[in-house]
Amino acid sequence: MLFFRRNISTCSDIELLQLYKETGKSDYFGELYNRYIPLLYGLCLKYLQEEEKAQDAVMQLFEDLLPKLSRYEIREFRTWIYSVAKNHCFQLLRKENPEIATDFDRQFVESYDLLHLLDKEETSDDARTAALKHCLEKLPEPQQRCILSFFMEEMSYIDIVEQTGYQLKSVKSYIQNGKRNLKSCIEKRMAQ
Amino acid sequence: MKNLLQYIQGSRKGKEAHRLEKEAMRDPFLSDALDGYQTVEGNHVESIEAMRRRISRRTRSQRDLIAKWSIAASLLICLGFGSYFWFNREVGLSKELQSMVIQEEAVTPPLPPEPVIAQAAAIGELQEKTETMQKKAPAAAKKPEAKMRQAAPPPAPLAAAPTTAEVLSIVEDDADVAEMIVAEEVVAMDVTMGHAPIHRPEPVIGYKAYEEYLRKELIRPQDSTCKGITGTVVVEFHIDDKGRPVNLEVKRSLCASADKEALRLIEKGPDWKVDTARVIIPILFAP
Repeated sequence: MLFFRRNISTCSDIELLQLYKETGKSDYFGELYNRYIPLLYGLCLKYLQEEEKAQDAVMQLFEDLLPKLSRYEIREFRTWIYSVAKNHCFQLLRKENPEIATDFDRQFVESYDLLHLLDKEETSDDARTAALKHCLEKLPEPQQRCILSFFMEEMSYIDIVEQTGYQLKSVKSYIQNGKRNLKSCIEKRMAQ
Repeated sequence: MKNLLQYIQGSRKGKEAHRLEKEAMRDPFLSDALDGYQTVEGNHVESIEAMRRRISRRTRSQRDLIAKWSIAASLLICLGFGSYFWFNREVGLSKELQSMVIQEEAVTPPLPPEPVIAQAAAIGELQEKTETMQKKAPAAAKKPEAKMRQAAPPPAPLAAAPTTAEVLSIVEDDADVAEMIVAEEVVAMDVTMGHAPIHRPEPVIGYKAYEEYLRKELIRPQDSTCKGITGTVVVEFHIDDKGRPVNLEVKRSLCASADKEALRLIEKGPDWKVDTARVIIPILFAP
């Protein structure tokens, strides 16, 4: 087994978890965790806002999980580690500031239908497409511009920043708010 | 994940970047990660690599250790087998030598033909085993191996003596076996006198049973210095008029308590047929 085991980089997440549970060898979990470090580090950067804190959090989380991982029933590692890591960050934040609010991203569920609609390939529903067109025109100028650039012209945030001269933060919030406005506008129109 | 790294490292422009940003709208995990990289400046790719290295080192050290141990263990096993066969070979050699030396020592009338044949055959066999040693054989003894095997027709007693001497001197060159050949003078004497071996002292129960006894009754030393030791203790002795071994002497020592055990085995062991010749017995502490 030791000399003939397959290259662990070809194993799936679930296989690595299984191997770690069976053998207790930490390198299986090490390989799995390493795959998620780019996502995890970005997540920690978002909530902790400092490189050093984020790195400590990523490393600490690994040490925390290593001994108790086998106790969890994990069906999908990706979603599991996401919630665990986010909780880890919130706990760190709460330690610093106990009054912090901890629910951040509701917008995903909200915007899901809209994303389908905004996908060019999926605009087969005529009534909805007409509603979308109407609502787009009613959006405030910066939101309309950003939404169109992003969804229709397939530009990246930085592309839009360069084209419009807006701040990156603003671009993202224009898109965010634009999506929300579009959604409620379309729903209103469809209900009529 | 590769796309994400490219995104972090790159200019974040163009369709690739857009695709990832749009993907993030349906994927909260990716979205959070992108937010993080977009809001905090830094050499993130380098940080990611550093963390990955730390995790690998943290987990791989354990694996390397296991690998190292298993390599060490398999080497040890190989060594064990190797030395087992090596010692077996050595003991085989010692047994032959034992009969040689004893035969040399005997001071009785000239040999009958049969033992010589046996001896010649034995020498042939021995020579096969000691081919490497042969290079060192003294110039005096240049008989090729082939001739030795052809020695089927009983050679003259005088011819047999130098042959034995040759074998002994060959073996003498081998440092490991040399010590036990104490019979240098004896050989010289025999050669000059033209005496050839005739018989070897025998345990009453016979050699086969005697060897069986040695093997079965051997108690391996348990003290800290000698525990697990392997090798051969060579004991030399005389037989008294009651057939008991006397004047026991350790000719090759292995370890204090192993030597003691070898002496005990022979001292407490089976009787011998009364004989005047010295007996040399190798006792193997097998791996």
